[in-house]
Amino acid sequence: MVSLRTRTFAAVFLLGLLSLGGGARAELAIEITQGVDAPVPLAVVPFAWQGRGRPPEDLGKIIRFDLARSGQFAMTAPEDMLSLPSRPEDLYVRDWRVQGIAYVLLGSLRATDQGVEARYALFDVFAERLLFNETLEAPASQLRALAHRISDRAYEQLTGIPGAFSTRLLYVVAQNIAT
Amino acid sequence: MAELLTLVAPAPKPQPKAKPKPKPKAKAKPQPKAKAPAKVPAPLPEAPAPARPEKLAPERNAPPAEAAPPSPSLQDLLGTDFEDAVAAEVDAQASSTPEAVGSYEADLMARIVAAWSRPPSARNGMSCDLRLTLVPTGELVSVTLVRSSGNAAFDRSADLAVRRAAPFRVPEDPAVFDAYFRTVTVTFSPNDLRY
Repeated sequence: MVSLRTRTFAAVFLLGLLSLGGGARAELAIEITQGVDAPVPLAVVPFAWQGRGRPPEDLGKIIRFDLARSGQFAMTAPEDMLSLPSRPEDLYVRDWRVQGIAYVLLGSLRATDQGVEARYALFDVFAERLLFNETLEAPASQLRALAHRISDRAYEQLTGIPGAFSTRLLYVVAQNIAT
Repeated sequence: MAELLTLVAPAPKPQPKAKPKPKPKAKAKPQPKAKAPAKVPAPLPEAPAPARPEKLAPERNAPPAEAAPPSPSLQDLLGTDFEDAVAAEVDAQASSTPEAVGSYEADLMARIVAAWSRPPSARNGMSCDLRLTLVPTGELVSVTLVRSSGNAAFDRSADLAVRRAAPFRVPEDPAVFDAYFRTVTVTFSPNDLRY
């Protein structure tokens, strides 16, 4: 009975559309002109360390501070994370989605003959999509710069504006110009 | 296609509409059996079907020529009735659905607005379109970017907004759901940014 009624309704409705000659579908088309612009929840998972002893720098922490300072993101503290994946294939979307976290930056740091190699990835939790998965190498003395480079990559990917975390201020002192 | 529908539609039609329809139909059948065409309007009000059969049997011999004229006219009447009914239905649809749909639409919009964080590269005048596919539970099953703003971060912010806003509150009536909420196109075009 219900299905009959439904079909009747649909038939009449279709007829109506045909007789109106529009043939246009009634589906909704809405326009959103405003947003709330709350900081986007982002988690930077502590980087795994593959090498002897303790990691020379806490990469995840540096990146977390960089991105938090931008004001664009609401950072998740590591102690609130339900899991600590270091590779995208180890990430369980549900762990992050239940907390409403939109993006997860994760990675690992490995000692090499030349210095260190960082593998890092940015994951879109709601779309369940990997936004990038990259590798960067640096001499061990440049670990902080390496972290800032990763911050830049994530910032640019998410905001559409190049990150400025790697920027260094350079003071040029001019002397004896007018001689 | 249209013919098929017209053929299909008249029969089930009376059910939702109730009153006006069943009677004309009841009329049409007993009439030919009755002798006088003049009686047409009279016997109608009460259900004639159960009462008559025995009486009518002998009268069957009555000249069919007399019976013939009323039935075509009644059917014409039926036909126009049906068209009128359809027109009325369409009118009702056109005027009543926006109201029924309106609160759900407003709800959907409010949820998306609350979930939309524009990236700092977003500017007034940027615009992108997403097509959402919903299921009757209000859950979002797919999001397709049908028109890009040209700014990937802006497009992604829109995508994130609809995914975070889901699930949505949708009409329970399956026909209304199918007509309005099965697929929804959302245009994101900010006009409240500083730049």
